[in-house]
Amino acid sequence: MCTDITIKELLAPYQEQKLDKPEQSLVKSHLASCEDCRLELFLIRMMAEEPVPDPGDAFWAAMPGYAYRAVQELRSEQKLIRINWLLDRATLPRWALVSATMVTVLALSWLLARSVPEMLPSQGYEFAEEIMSADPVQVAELSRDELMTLDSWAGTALVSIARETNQASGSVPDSDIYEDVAELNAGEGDQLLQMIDQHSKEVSS
Amino acid sequence: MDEDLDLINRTVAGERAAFNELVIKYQKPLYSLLFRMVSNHDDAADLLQKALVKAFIGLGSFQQRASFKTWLYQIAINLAKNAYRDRGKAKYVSIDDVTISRDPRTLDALIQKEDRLLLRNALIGLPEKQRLTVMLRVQEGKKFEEIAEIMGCSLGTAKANYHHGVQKLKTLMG
Repeated sequence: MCTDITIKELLAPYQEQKLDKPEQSLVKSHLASCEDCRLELFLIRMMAEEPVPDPGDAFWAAMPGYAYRAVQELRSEQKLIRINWLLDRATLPRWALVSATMVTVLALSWLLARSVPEMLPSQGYEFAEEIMSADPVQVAELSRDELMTLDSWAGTALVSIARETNQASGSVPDSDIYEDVAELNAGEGDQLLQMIDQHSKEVSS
Repeated sequence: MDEDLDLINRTVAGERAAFNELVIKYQKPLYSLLFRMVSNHDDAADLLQKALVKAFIGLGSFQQRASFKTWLYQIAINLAKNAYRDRGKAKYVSIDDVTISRDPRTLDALIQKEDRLLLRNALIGLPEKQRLTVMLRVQEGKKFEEIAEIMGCSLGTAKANYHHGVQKLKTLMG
């Protein structure tokens, strides 16, 4: 077996007739005395001449169009994949959505539970209980300041109560009488009450 | 090379005529290589289209370290290798483990037989790197420097693969 690597590397270009004259002569003289290299050259020639069938003009003419369409289709798919990739990144994972919903519901529940007691008129209840449990007040025992306060309260509260009562009973309010009553002072108020009591006794007897 | 660069730039810019010109320029040598690798038209045509599509999709990132032709060959060879592996076609004879105990047959006997089928089978029987290297050197007329670039190996490895491949071919043809 020949071990002349230089010659062996020149066999393929020799077969292709790509060597310059000195190299060609070198290979030629070596081949004359080396059967192993002649065998190798024969194999190289066989392989080089191994025919590749021509698929035909129609095949060659169609290939640029096929390739172009395939490239366009692939680019469209790649764009779609990129959009989907962005959407995937933009959308929160399901567990994150569930967690966010749970936190929101809990926060709202906590806020509602906190605000309900504040809305109850606790002070109003205490005040009402205080009124209900108080001893009855005798008008005669009241001081002047207390009578003045009662007078001012009666001037507004009694009138509004009387109006509401009349509206409920359907009678026409006599605005002059109520205005007069509202203008009475504490002493006059007492006198009026005594007169009403006396009138009631007379009517009943 | 400069002509290729011009065509590449125009293709990247979206010029269809430049795309067509590049395909027409390289489709025949690529088909020839692929046919020799897969030994049938359907697979070779399918791989040719795939190689062209892959090359043109990645054309924007082509870095011109190698020539466009070398780059195309790399893509085509890798696709063909993968197709072979996927389909379980790589029925290599484990020739590396075979001890070559006899001399290759004589030239006269080989010439008399000139069995092309035997040659094809012998080529298929070579280890992948040796087979590809022999094909690129002998059938595609590539220089060792180009083969090294296509195969992604050193010049010395490319030459060694070639010499080992040819020696084994001579033995398998015996």
